[in-house]
Amino acid sequence: MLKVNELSIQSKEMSLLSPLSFELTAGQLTGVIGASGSGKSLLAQALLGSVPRGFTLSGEVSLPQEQRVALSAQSASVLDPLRTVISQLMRRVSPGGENRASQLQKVNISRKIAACYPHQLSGGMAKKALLAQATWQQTDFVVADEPCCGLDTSSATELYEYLARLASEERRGILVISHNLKHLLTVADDILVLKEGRLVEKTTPDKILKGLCAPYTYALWQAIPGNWGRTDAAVA
Amino acid sequence: MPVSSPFSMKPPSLVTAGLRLALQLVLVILLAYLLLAWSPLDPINSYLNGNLFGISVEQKAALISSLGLDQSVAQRMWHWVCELAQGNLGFSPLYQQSVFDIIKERLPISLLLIGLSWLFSLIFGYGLGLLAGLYQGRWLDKFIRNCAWLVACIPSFWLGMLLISLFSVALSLTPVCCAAPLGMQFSEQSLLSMAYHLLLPVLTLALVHMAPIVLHTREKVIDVLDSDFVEYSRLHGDSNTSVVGYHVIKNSLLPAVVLHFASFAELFGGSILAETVFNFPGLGATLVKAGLANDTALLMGCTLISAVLVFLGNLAANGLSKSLLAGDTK
Amino acid sequence: MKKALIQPTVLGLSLCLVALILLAGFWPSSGSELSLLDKNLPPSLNHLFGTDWLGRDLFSRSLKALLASFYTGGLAVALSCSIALLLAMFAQVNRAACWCVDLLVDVFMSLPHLLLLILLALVFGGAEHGLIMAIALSHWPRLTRLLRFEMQAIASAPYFQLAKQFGQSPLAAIRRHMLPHVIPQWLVGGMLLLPHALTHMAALTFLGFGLDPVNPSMGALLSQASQYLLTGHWWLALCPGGLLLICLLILSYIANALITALRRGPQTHISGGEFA
Repeated sequence: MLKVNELSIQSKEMSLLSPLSFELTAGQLTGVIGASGSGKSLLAQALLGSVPRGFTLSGEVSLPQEQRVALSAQSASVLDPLRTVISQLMRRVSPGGENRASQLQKVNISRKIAACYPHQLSGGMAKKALLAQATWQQTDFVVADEPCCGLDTSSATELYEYLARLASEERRGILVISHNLKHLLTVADDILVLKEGRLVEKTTPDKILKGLCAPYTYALWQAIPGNWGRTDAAVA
Repeated sequence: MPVSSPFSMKPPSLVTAGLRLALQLVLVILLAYLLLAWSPLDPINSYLNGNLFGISVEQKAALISSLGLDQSVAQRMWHWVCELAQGNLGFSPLYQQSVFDIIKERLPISLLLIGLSWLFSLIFGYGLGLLAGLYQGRWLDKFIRNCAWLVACIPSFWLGMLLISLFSVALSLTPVCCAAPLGMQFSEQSLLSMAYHLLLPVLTLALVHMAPIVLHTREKVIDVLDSDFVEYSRLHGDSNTSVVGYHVIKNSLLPAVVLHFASFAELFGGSILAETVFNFPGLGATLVKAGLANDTALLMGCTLISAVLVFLGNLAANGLSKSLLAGDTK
Repeated sequence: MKKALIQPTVLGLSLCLVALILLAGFWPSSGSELSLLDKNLPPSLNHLFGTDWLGRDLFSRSLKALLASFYTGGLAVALSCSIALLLAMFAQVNRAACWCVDLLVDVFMSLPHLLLLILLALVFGGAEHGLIMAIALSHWPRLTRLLRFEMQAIASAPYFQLAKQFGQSPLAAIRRHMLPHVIPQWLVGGMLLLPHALTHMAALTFLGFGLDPVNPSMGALLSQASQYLLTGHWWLALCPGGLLLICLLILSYIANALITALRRGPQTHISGGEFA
């Protein structure tokens, strides 16, 4: 279990993330939802200990010994522009893991793509490479920052299903940051709702669909195209 | 390197860049020829070594026509280009030898001097820049930066003189003069003796031309260390050595090499001074003597060679920056 | 930029430099008096830089040489800067002019700088005015390139193009909108040219080009000193060169401080991290 206790990002002038606490359980997929600028990506990076320059991180992220967290970053800028994708992915492979070919196949990256340089990747391919960069580390917890932003619906669905499998089959704890509540509702076990750097509530897809959640959360559900104008919480 | 505006349509291909460099080469040679043709120096005077009254009027007229001085500048230039195409660079009154032979004798020494200086300033410049970037903000960084800035301001010939005073005269560690022991030709001495004589000149040249590489590499290393991919590596447990070896070096070494290739021109200028101070019989010192003695043929020959060297350096820089950095975004 | 000028170090160094030049200007002795009894003396209180092989006080000679260097160097740099600005403005006329100026800049930079200086010095007869012309005609390329870069950035900016569309003549647009941005860069670029010009002048006269038989120049002093190196008269080379180096360092420092101030521009308030 990954325990987050009063984690916050502050500076002298302002606070980016107000103290929040939650837990991640192995084998479960937790989603983080919120409007743009609500601090979702900041939370993802803070879980690994990274804060923007000039800010301090307080609070605590505790893991059992021997367990680690890996981040699947949001942007391809975390890939070295002068090295091939496969070269950088191989750096993340822990010894004794599965062989290269089957790992590539799992995330649906062809060998040709793997031999490319980061700037040659399309948006979708880049997202897959970034996810592979995190999952190949065989860590117990994976934080995925907007893994499907910019992907078409079918690729996004495929990727969310892959994340769900990671959680259930490989017993890893997955935290998915997303602004797409619709997809999260289908795969997540829990959902954290952020607003302007504060944790509004921790709820479940079930409760959201039944309307047994905070008004802000319900408003987020209502904002999904297709739910516009609906006041009941019937399944979409 | 050619000016590239921030808003040009697309970067020039290697062929275009190469052609443009070749055009510059041709133009600069023509420019040099014109400059020398316009100089107020009397070639007859220099040919006769000042002994103007030693010949009769008819002999002078014959000399004028044999030197081609009764033709217009354009005709003379065309004649020179034709001779050049046949490999004839003219005759030097100063050394009483063909220009081609003089250059053949002296170019290797200059190339050795320039080549070694280039190599050492790259190696040590890159190393110091890397250190300064890795230890940014600490005293080592400040020390390296200030030294680089200080050394960049020092006139190279003065530094050479200081080094001679210190190491050759006061400490007697290095030879006081010349490229070889007295009486010996450069190529006749042993390798050890050659290195012994090359030590101070190479040190002087390398020191003075190290500064741009040090500062540029430092900036690049700092940029790379600040980048998202290095931060990602660090967050996921990569050790510092691993980060430096995998990310930092590749991202910073290639720009340094490319930049350094383009500094061939500076190095050649520096070698002119170094060869004069250390009394090396290289192309640079010959160039100076030719200029002082108004030996236009020899001066033109040396100019041609140095323009070609600069051209090759810039071509290499262009080629490298396009091929080796293929993985980088434009 | 004014803020950078008021910084204590920059101000202090500028005052030092001015004081040094004034000292050189008002120094009573011209350093050309022979005193064979006092020849080859190392530095002492009487002779700060020692004396040379003719007994002349090296300190006086160095000061006068420095003054002459600043005079010729300053003149040459002023000329060079004017050429650079005119060419950069000419390049804005149309694409053909732009291409020509670019090519001209690249051609001038295709030769080693010192070689170009030697050729130019020979063209202009090799005396002192030849020196000024040689320096002036060989230092403009780098500044022109810098100015061209700046001007091109401004020319692509919306406000400039709007000004032209409003009917302002190209010259007026350049004068009103481009020059105010470019002038500070031009001035600082010129300041940075001065140490290079001084070094190159010293190098040229050291090699023997552009010598004026009457006035001592830095390069000539050092050239004569190099003949006496082997006799152990180290002060002949160290002291004048050291004086020149100090001036170069001061000029370089001030120019760099101004460049940093220019580049930094108005201070921005918040800086987020790359990950944010």
